[in-house]
Amino acid sequence: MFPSRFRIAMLSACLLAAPALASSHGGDELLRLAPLSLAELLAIPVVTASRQQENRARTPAHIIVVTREQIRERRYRNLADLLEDLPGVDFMRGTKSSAYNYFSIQGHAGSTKLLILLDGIRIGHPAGGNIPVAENYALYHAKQVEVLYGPAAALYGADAVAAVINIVTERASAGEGWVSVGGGAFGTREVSFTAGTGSNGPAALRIGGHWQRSDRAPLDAYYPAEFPRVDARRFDGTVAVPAAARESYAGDIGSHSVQARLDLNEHIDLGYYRNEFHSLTSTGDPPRTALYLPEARWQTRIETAYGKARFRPFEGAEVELVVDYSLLRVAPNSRYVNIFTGFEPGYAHVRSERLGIEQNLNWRIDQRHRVQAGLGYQEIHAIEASDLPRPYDTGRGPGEQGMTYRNTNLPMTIHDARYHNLSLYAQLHTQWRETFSTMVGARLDRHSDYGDSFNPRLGAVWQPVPGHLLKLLYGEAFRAPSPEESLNSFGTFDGSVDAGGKFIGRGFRVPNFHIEPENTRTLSVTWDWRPRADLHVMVNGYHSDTENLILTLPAPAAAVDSIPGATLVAPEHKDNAGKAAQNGVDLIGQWRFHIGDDWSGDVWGSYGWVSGWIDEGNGVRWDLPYLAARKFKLGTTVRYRDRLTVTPRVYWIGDTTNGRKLNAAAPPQRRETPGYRVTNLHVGWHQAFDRRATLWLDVYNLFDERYHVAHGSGSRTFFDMPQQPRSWQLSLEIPF
Amino acid sequence: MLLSLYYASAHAQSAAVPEYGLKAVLLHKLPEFVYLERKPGNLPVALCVLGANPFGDALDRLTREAGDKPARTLRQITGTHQAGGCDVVFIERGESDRVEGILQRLANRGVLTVSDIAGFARLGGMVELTVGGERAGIGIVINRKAARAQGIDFNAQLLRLATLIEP
Repeated sequence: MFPSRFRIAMLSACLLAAPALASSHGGDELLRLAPLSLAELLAIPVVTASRQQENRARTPAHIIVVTREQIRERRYRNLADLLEDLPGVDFMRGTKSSAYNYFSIQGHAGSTKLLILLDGIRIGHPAGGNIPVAENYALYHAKQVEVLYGPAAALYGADAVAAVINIVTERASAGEGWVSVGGGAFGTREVSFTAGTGSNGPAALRIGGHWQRSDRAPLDAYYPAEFPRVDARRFDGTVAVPAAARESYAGDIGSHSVQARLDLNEHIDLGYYRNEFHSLTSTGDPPRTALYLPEARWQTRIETAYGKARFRPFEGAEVELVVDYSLLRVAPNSRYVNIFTGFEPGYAHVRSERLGIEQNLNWRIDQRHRVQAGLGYQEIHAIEASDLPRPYDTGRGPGEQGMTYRNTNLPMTIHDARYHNLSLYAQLHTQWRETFSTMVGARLDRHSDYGDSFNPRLGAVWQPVPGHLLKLLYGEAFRAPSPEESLNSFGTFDGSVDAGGKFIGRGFRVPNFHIEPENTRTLSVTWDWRPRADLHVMVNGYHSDTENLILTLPAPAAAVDSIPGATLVAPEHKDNAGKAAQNGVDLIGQWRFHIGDDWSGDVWGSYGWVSGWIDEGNGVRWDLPYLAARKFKLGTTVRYRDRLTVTPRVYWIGDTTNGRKLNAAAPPQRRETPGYRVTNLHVGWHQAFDRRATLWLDVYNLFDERYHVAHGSGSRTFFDMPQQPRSWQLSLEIPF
Repeated sequence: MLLSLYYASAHAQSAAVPEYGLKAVLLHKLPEFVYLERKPGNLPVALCVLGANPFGDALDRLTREAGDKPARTLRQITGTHQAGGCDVVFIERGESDRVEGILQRLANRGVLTVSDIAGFARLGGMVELTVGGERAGIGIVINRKAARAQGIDFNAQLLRLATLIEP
């Protein structure tokens, strides 16, 4: 996944710099365009008599653009596949109970620091919490995926801390469609399709969707040492399920999504997107901690509907009005069955909805200056509850559920919150010279709960000599506290009471309605070098530091009595404390080659180094968790005409810090999950069956390695999470 | 917000290329993605430009120096009566008033027709190169039905990148 547009920009820059070009099309330079792929050629902007030349106001940000051909040939079937292959990303599959996968992008851990957009519309958590980024974000509809590294809060507001990913879909007027049907090892089944009505008529509709199920491998058969049949014991030592009666491991996942886009004309788009994912809530938990029951699963659905209208108020300006509504629901029957729930069902309920309206202006003032500015307003409502003794009744409000804490007669309080945010941003691009441009921007967010957040963004792009670009970016960003952090409350009552007759609660986390956002500052330098038309090298160095970290901390003394009729022992809550910092470098390369007349291919790869620390508010620095200091990713696609593609991908991931401290009294080292090397292979037979279909064979973990990824901060989870053995899938893709 | 990312990631960072320079490269490359039934083996592919040549010397230089195999030959023709031996005919915009007649006369010759005349594909042309609309670059519109009627088809990569219409 390499920034085709960067490469195009480099070549384009060469073209523009050639004085003879305007009259003769710069023949030598055009010859350098010839090796580009068709997709890359079609992405190059052109100068026409009717359009002003897009000068060289390149963004200072580090961007990677993944084209549809790359998505297809490299078999990025979903966002998880793509993220895993991106430079600077540590990706840990199948570790989290509700989010399923976990990842760090240039040292920023978790999905709450990644902004996911579909055609510029937020399709992540409406209120900024953790979500599964897995098979649910399938890429059947993607024309390309743009990955903007680094802080972009000055444009996008909260949570654009580590990166922004924009999935760009095909316009509805593109009529061609296809359907794909696949199946494979461990009960894997998958169907996806996309189709458009074409451009006839005043409106055009494009729809697509996917459905996927997989039983996944029975990990207890492949990692017997990690999955012994043991008693499931409660905290008080009593046995809930004896070893002899323990169940086999079951870790099935399933997902589906639907996307629809209606283009009424060139000025109005309407869209709808939904995805859903379910997985085992005990993902990442060892057998002494959890029961692997099929019904003990977490099921998240995210829906987004939007409308966009564009118009040109005056020459050089375009205004876009965007209205969007987003809803996240965790199914009321989602439940944990683990030691924290006494091995009884502990239900959860999460609902977040967001209604937003934004007006954005893009105004080219003159040849040198361009302004982007916008005004937005968002309203958010969130409910967050867990450890419920029965499923949440969605027909009643949070205060009408009438539940009591398990093993008590104490009424349970379920919290919800409503808040709003007003935002204003502006950004000025200035092209000082042909070879030098700057960008200055800032955004102010006024939040009804935590007040104002001001985030500047400054950058410069300099081309010292043709073929080389240097980019400098400084930006600030903030991560808003999520409802899970501010509202959620959970803990255990075993029925015991103290001398005063109050129930004793243990392991409680209580709400905190006064959490402030985390603030991150990042400085990034990118060297972009294109020595030849078929070779591209990038080096991106970065430094980030974060303050006001949201951590789990001892709650104030008053929290002991926060549940009437109970005494909570050492309750905790989420609050701001401490700071973290990281430095890193990503070296990225891509080479395109031809062998004879019939063979061609791409080689791409990245080497990443990162180092960081976290101070949890006590002045003691520990290594950042969930980071491999060194990681090397390499892939190649080899094509034989248009008939065959073979794409092996190899990841060498170094030892990775996990959540456990090596010695609590001897910072800074954390325990490390051993590194691994894993290879995936993707083979495509194209033009099969009357030149129409493509048959894909995907083999994951080709050499059947047994390896682990980093996990766990508590003693009741795996620190090293076993990963899937070799698996395969065969898919048939038929255009229509 | 979409504008912001678009400008951050796409339009703003990519400098532009002259329209006909890029169209020359695309036209030169097009035969790689087309199954021309009458052009087996490695015989040169004959590119013909019908009308005034809008490409300057760009297409000529690409034909001579790009080193593609099979090779390309280039001819400029003034009418369909000179189209014998052409595998690909690019119909220049100046021929827009006569384009329907040109397409009729090229029918049944197994020739790939290409043009940047607006609405070319809807008029029965096979490949239309477009500029403008949502994209900053060049778009490809394909009338697959018209091509198949001449025994011509397109490979999957091109079909995925193009907009297909069925007038």
